[in-house]
Amino acid sequence: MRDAFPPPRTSLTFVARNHGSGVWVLALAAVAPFACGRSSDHRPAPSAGAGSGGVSGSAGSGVGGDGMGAEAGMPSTAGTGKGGTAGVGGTGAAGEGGATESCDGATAPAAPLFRLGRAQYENSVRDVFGDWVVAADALPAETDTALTSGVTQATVAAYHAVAHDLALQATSDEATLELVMGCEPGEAACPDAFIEQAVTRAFRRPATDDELADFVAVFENGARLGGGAVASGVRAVVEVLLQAPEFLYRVEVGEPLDADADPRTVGWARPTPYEMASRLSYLLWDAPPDDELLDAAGSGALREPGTVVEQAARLFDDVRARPVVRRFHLDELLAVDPRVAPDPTVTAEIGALMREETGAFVEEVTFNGGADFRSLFTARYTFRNGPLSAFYGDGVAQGDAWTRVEVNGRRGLLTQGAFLAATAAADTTFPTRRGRVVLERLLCSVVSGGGIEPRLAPDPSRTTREGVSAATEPPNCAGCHSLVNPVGFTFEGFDSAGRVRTTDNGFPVDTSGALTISDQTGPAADAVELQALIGDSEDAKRCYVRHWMTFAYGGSAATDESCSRGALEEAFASGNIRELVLALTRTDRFLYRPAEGQ
Amino acid sequence: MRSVKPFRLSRRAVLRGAGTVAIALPWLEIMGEPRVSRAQGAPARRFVTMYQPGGSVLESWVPLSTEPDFLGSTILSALSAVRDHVLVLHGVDMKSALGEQNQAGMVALLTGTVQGTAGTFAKGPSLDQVLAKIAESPPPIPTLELAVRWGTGKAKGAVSPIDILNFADSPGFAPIAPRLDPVAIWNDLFGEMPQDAGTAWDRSMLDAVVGRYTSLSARLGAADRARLDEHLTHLRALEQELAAVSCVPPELIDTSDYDPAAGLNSADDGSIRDVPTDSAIPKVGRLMTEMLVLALACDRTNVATLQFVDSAAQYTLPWLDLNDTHACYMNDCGYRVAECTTICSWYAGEFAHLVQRMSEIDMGGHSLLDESVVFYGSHLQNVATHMKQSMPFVLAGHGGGLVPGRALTFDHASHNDLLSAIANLFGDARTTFGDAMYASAPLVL
Repeated sequence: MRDAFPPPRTSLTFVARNHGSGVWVLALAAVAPFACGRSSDHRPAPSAGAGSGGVSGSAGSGVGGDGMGAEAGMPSTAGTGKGGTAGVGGTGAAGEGGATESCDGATAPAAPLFRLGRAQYENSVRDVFGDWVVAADALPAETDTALTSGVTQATVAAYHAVAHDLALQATSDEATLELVMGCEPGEAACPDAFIEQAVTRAFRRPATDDELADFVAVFENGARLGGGAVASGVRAVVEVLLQAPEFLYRVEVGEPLDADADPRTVGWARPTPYEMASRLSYLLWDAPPDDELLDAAGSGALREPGTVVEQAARLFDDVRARPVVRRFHLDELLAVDPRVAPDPTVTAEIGALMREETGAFVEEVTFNGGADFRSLFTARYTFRNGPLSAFYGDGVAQGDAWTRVEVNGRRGLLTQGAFLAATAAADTTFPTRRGRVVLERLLCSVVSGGGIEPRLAPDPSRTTREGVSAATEPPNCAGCHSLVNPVGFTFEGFDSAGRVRTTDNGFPVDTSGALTISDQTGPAADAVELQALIGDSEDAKRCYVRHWMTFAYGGSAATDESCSRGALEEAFASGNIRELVLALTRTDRFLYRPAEGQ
Repeated sequence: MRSVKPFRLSRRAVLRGAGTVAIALPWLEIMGEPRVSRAQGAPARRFVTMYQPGGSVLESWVPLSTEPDFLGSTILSALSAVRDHVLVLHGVDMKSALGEQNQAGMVALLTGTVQGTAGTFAKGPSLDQVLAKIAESPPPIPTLELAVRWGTGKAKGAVSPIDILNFADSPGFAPIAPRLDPVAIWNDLFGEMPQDAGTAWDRSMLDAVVGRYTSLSARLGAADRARLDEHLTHLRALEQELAAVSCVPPELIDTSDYDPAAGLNSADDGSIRDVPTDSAIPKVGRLMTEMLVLALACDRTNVATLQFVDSAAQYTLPWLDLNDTHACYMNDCGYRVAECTTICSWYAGEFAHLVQRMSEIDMGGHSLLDESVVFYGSHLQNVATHMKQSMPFVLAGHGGGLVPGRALTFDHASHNDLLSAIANLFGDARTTFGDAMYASAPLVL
């Protein structure tokens, strides 16, 4: 009597598209919340050396509270209580600086429990159900550190909502049901076969008899609730499986070492081969292990560190590693999201293009450009498509396709919109923020705003630089700002949207500044020269290593694992990114874990 | 075989009460229009209209000057139990109700447009249809129109300006016929909900999930156990929220004594009676009310109208020992104040019941009424003169920051401005509604 109703809608929307070949594609789309405003407890340790200690001291108000709070355009890098961490870092800096730590392996390296990140979750769901499930932004964005430290109510509710809706849609018609089960639903043996295959795939290892029995019970209960229908049983299995801890978390129970293990590692344990397979695949692909890794696990080959590194190399050289490298640089190293940049002309769409530019850039450097750390800051090329080029006003690209280009005046990561727009204010540049972000993210310095990050009201009678200089002149400001401002000023040749500019409020811009708090402290005429200094900085390289450690090992690994860090810094001596990433799989932290129950 | 799955327990209902909401919810982002900022924050989400025939009895509606209580009068005292949830409006005139004396009131009530020529319909959309389009993510049923004992008298069970309140928000503003058959309505709203609808399925699934965390947690080291325990805490909170959400289909009582199509068998003068159907009005009214409320709670819709009869009012009220027609007591037999007061008091009591039910539905930390605006009224005020000044209007609910628990007195305010004020509660920033000649600025509620 009424018109056909629109399909059920939740805030996580499913769209079924028939690709004509009879294969059903379920697209799982939701409105993604902003990536900023979530506190991260990541705080890279201050760089070694007396320098950072000196900063803390002279900043005075610095160390205690660093409540920078959430800024648009950036995932929050601070929160309350960071003062404590900073304080510890500040104290420890000197100690960590020198090579005085003993690596006698008294305690096994930590192994925090990893929860799947958003990209990992999506890849894992696709792995269980097949490529025809397309999941996009189904869950809230989180920092990597959050994945090893806790989980919020909202995220648990989101897991529930996604599992519920996906299970419903996956069993809503015969064709999809058969695709999901992998066999003819009416056949007697099909449900059990489906359960075994689904649980094994979801748990990323062979299922135990108890686990299979558990899920047979889930199936039967679901079928009963659905009036005996097989579809209802499958729906229950899917819904429970996608919320199970063995799916959402990379649970490790570990195994004892061989009797002839290195005496240094007495009392330690190691991941089981399947657990090692997951360590490798989630680090390098944000995804569950592929069949080759699973075979290497099943045969026990992954117990050999040599096999581990071989597989690591295979994974890194595979195209599936590229999104991970992009994600590392954008979300862990720089932690910028231009899609929420303060300048309103940088819309979410433009911000996405900027992310693509930087993503393509770091991918090019890493996989086609020699994988050289220095190149991240000094490479002459970048990437454009027509719309982004039009936005920047540099006319170097047309059409939708992305091309590698060279643009006058721009070189390296920090002359790209993703960094510049995310570290600006709505209507002016924000040099102190840019300076602070460079020092914190790239040099791992602790720079505090004393609890707030005030912004000057725009003043058309002078340049932003002049205004900032005047405002930060007083002695209790200058201690910190004399280190932050020179760095930030080098970017004054770019406006709040990341476009090139030669004037500010009608006055010529002055981009002279300096790199501070580093082994390459020295003057820089502009952002290009600043980045040349960063590219040459050993402190910057060490900081980069710390970021990879956080990314790979979670939480406070960069401060905890001094032995592994030393080995990684050595591997990164030449600045080769590929070497560094592969070296991540050779450390004690990666190869070992505490014995069970610790 | 229906092509669409019924909309089950709402994810929104779960996420809303979860504290930190990470996923964008509909209704919080209005496309294009600037948000009206209300003291209390979020815009209203649900709009309900309840219509009763026969206007009111003004002298029993407005409290005496000696009565301090804003519900003082005979009729409004029926709202005592829900006094904190109702906002009584005095001094609002339906200035756009120009046309046939009854029809114009029906046409204008939700549209604020002039009928003009008798027999014609509205020249604009009704407010409920407009509000239904605000939702960014429309529910399965955009609007729900339910009617009890409909189409009496001259309308003879057909769509007519005598008996239609809702007009489409599309060119032509087509009249929308209400649904009449309680059994068909029940089947449509709730019939295809799987046996495991709502809490039974969710409880069972979450039980299984919780079990996995509990048993795995016990086998892990302290640090990992703490992590899974934290997750478990959130799961348990989720369980509680789901248990609290009240999406359970209402019981389909026996209405076999009620003929929803009784209007087809009408006489212009009400001389054809259907006493069994009339006698069933209270229980069918309650059933319709319950279905409406649960349709909201289960997120089947966000906008609903409950219409009792029509402007012809050719029905009897045996349960009130009134065996002549309502039309007789209003007009046909001369204006009978006592009987009309009794009838209006009864309807006010049904309105109170609707409000009460909405206040009892837990949507996860707040009630259905908290996020709703209910509009109660009739198509005229005075049945003898057909006057449409000082309309018997009551609002209920707390949606959009509406503050009830009082009365407001206006000085010949236009009800067009009431309609726009209601729209503002839903985050729609318009300043006029309906015929511009009778609209100036939204009433301050």
